[in-house]
Amino acid sequence: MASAEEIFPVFDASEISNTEVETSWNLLVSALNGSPVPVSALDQFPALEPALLDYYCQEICVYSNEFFKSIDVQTADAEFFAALIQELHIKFLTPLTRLPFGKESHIMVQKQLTALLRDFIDDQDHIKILLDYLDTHSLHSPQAVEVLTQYRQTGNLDVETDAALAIALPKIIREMVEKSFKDQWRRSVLDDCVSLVQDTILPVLTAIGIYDSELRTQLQVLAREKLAEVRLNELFDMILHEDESQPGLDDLKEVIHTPELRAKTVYTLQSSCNLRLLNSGVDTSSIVLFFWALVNVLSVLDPRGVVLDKVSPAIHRYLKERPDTVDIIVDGIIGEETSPLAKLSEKLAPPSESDLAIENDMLDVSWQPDPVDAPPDFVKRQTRDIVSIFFMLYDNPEVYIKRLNSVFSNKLLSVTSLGELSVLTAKAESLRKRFGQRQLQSIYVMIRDVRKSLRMQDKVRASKKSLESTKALILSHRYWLNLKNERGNFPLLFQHLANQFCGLFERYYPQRAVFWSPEDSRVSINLEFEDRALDLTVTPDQAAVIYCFSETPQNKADYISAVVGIDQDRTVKALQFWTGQCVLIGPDENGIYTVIEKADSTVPQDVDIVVGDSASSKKAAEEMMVYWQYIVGMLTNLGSLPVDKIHSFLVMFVPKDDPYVKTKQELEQFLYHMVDGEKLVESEGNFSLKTG
Amino acid sequence: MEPSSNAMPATSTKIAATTGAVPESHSVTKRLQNELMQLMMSAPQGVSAFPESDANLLVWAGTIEGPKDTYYEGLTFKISLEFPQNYPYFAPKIKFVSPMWHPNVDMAGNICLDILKEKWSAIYNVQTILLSLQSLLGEPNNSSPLNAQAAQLWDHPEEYKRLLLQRCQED
Repeated sequence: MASAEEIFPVFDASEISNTEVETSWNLLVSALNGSPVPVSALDQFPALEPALLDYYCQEICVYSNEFFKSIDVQTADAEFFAALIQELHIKFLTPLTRLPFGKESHIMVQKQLTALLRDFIDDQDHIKILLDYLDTHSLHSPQAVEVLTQYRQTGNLDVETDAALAIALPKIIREMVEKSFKDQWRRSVLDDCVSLVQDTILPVLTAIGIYDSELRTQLQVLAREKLAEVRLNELFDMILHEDESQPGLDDLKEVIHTPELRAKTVYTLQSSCNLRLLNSGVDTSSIVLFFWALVNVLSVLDPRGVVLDKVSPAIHRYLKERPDTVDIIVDGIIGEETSPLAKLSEKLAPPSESDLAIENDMLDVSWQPDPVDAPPDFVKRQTRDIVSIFFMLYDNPEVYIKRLNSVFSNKLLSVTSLGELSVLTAKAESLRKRFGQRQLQSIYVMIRDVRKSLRMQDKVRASKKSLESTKALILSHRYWLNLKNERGNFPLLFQHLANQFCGLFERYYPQRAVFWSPEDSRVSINLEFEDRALDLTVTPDQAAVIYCFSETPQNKADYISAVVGIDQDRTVKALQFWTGQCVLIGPDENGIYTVIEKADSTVPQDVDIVVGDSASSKKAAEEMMVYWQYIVGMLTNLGSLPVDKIHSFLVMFVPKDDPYVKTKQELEQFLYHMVDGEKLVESEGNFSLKTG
Repeated sequence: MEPSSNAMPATSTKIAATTGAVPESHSVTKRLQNELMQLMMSAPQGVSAFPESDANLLVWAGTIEGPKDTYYEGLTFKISLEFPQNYPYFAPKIKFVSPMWHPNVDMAGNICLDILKEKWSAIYNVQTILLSLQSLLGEPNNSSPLNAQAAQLWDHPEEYKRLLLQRCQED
């Protein structure tokens, strides 16, 4: 600390003409240094006070400017300035208190000091320095409180301090909330969060001298807003764990009210869906499940459905591109045990009146306007019913009905008892309540067919012993779309069974004739080898062909064809099946197929044979091939066309009896598949036939 | 090995009393749609046609490849087909859009073919028209030509071919 004389130099007569002031000043200086002041001098002091003060201020100015020059502003931080403020305060204001100056003078000097500080560094820089400091120091540490107090109270830099705090606080609170409550959405933390923020921040602000009746409320608002931000970032996870995240969602619902936060909700959901959901690594059932959870969650968060309206189109589009979406949803609706969506079947009950009721604004006492972010043409979602929402994925809900038919027909084919049938009938009944009789007509016909067949079977078994292990289903061929329904002949081995059955059938139903569909028939067989046994369910052709090998282990295709009584093509197909199963090997150079009696003999195991469930995918490809003819036709005659146009041509011109129900994405996929197969050429989105 | 067989063949019944599907109203679009389907499914060799826009089923574009062993082999011709509202009771209007040089086709592409005029019958369809036109290319009716020069030169292969190609390149 400098001695008083260093700061208050003895008056120089040349600078001040007033001798009285000069004398007084010198007296004061010596008084500060401990010399007694004559009483007479003190008497005339009040009159000289303004002049003395002027002088003092001038001196402070001169001194400070010198002093400030020595400071390197670039490296100075808030702590340094706080110390500087304190030093200046002690240097210039403390002596003043020891002199008989009035209070006004005191304040004036203080203002002078503040002005000097502001002059030295402008307010923006002060704010910046403070922000840098708050970035690296915890607001509620004693040092920080000290620094802020120096700035605000000692240095009187309240505008700068407050501005800096206003900028820094949201960030500080955000960090605080994030640190304490991140990933804590399994419990409700809203109250904890608000009190934490208040309890931490409010004392600091009081300590540095900020009092405001609004302060508490403002902190509350900030705390809620920041909690909302933190939760919004976790919204995707909360939806994924919808069953556990209810408390967190309730918190979030409480705090997203501002348009900014609502916009952020939409944006966050859109981007996290794009990033985490809508890519090829995620299986379709996960997407469907997420979408379901999303609908549930948003119906709580935003009952008006504006957010859902904005988020769902991307998911809709994506789901429509997935080939298995319908299958998965239908499995859920039917309540397949293996389906992750089995709970959908519980939602089958038709939506209640209240869910469907069209809003009558006039009568609604608790009417609220649509949220601000609702688009002008926004219509409140009429339903929150998830089954309807899934059905609305496609323009044509026929796809679901088709799939339902196909699933039912597969299930019905494997029904062996009336008991099993009644389970399916109950399922069909709940579907009927939802979708109506007309849509389920086929299913009902199929059920009736099976019921009749089962009864027929009992009668047949009772009357003919040889047909005991034969099960025949009598099907109305128009309704079983999954079946090939091609009339044909059985291998001789089975033909006599069929003939016996026919005889009985015609006895019971004299007006009707039975046509057999061998391709849809199955035979359960048991193969015993030297080292192994196989139980298989195969087609009649396959069964008959392998039966030939029970006598002679080596056979030629044309011999088998003759014995079995089917043509060469079918024989070879069946033989290929058995070689794929590693039951036969061949043909060798003489065209001979041989039984593999020992499995460990060197047999290529990696033969890819597509069996069983490929039927539906093959069917899809076949369906597309029908459209392929149309595509060739339009491209031959109209040159090159974009996918949109091709799509709308197909929609228009494919006969409505078996309508074209592919999505544009499926079509596009198919077109590109044909480009890969060198059937088409694509250029700038237009497809044309490859020539030559 | 011993296959034991448990056949469970599925069957299909046909109820004798089923009423046959009554043909729906013979609206022209329905008929054309069916014809389109037939044409697409049978995909006859060398001829093809398709509606020009998805909004109007009455105007089609067609393609005819010149038949083998004729002057027209290797050439492809575009035609336009316009169906009247009362099709199939009246014949469609058919014209060559590509430049054509043929005894029964004039320079504007109009065609003289009996089944398109007085011998039209409702049993004809797009496919038969297309095939008739294709065979007309190889077997013109030189007795009533629209293009006299072509009719005269029919038996002069070199000159005929030269003029045909010249005409085709006008496009």
